[in-house]
Amino acid sequence: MEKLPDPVQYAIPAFVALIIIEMIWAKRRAPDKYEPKDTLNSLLFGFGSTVAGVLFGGIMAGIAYSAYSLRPITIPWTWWAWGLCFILDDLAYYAFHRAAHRIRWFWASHVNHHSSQHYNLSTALRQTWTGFFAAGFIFRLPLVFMGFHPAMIFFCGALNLIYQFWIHTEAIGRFPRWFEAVMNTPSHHRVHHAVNPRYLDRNYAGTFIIWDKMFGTFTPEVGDEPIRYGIVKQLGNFNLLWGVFHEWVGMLRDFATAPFKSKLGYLFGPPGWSHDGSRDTSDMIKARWEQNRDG
Amino acid sequence: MIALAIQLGVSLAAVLALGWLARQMGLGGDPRILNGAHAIRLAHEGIYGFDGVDAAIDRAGYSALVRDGNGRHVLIMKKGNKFVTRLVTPPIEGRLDQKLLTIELREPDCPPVTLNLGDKAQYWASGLRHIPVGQD
Repeated sequence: MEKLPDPVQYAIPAFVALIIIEMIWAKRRAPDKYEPKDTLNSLLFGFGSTVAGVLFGGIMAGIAYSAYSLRPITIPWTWWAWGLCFILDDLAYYAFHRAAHRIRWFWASHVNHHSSQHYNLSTALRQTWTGFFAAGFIFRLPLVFMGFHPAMIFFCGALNLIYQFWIHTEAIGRFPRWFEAVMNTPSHHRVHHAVNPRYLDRNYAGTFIIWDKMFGTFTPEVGDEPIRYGIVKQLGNFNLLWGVFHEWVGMLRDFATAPFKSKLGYLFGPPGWSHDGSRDTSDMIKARWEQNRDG
Repeated sequence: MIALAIQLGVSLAAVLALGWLARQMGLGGDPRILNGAHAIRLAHEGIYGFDGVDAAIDRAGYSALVRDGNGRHVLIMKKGNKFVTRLVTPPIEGRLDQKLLTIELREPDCPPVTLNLGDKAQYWASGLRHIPVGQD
């Protein structure tokens, strides 16, 4: 029961096929939705992420199995456990994802996924190379301690990742209301990738948008405001290595040069935080936007 | 091990093929900065709260400088088919060569930007020399 296939491996041909279909759509309807250099960049992020997974996946599995040996109870390998595991893993993903946007340590890794100014299916494959160092996997450990088998958790996590692929598109508008109410959709996730002040740090969901609604982080897409994608300070070039490591470099540089009492703020404060207030966090930008909106 | 190497090799080939395909299909386009209003809007979108009052656009429309009422300047640069903005803060490395104004931001991801500003180059170069310190 512990040897499960990696569903992502089986999904890759579908990923490639869907990207080609979206490119054909873009060619006919909106050629600016793709930029060849950006596309290649995003796909190389994905390739590097796969290599990083090969290098560090074993260590993460080892940690998970060690934690599993400490479980107080064992969840059986039955059908209801799969459903429960998928739902709780999605909740763990929500917690991780929210932390990845609100704590610079995790953001230094997750920023890779957001640093494209485009939003298409190639952006979905724009994954981090440094996830292992950021240690985002700790958010899944509670499931291991609850007694879910690590193989089950990894499998559910992979299904979640596959689900999130297709929502990275502008080719789809909105789904029927019942679907938009429960599931994460292209519309909801466009909001998440936006840098428009009204949308900053919203819609962290993986598969089920209900978590954002439950925890007060949901914002619907409004039709009358064009979305701008990327990060608050867009990257100035397509240099792959700079794209991968730029936030780590900036964070460690800030840590090294900050006054002693402020050092931890540069690691664990929100992205954009500074000890002298000279930079903007997303909260500060949003507050200014709300002030302007309210007159 | 060999199977893994083949798998990674095929993945890399697919990545390069998709990148090549995007180029062959002519995706992307070549947008330019159209006018002062466009540049001011781009500056506002890139640096929230920056309200430009004046703009100088490179002859080709690839880059622009925007100034606000406090004398702060934003540099707009083309990146692929999008634009990137940076607040220009002292110390500024700038060179004026008749109609060409070159600005170096000293940021690792920003190459030097040369703007052909025509007769306005000297005026904007002077403006850059008088950017207020500490207003970023």
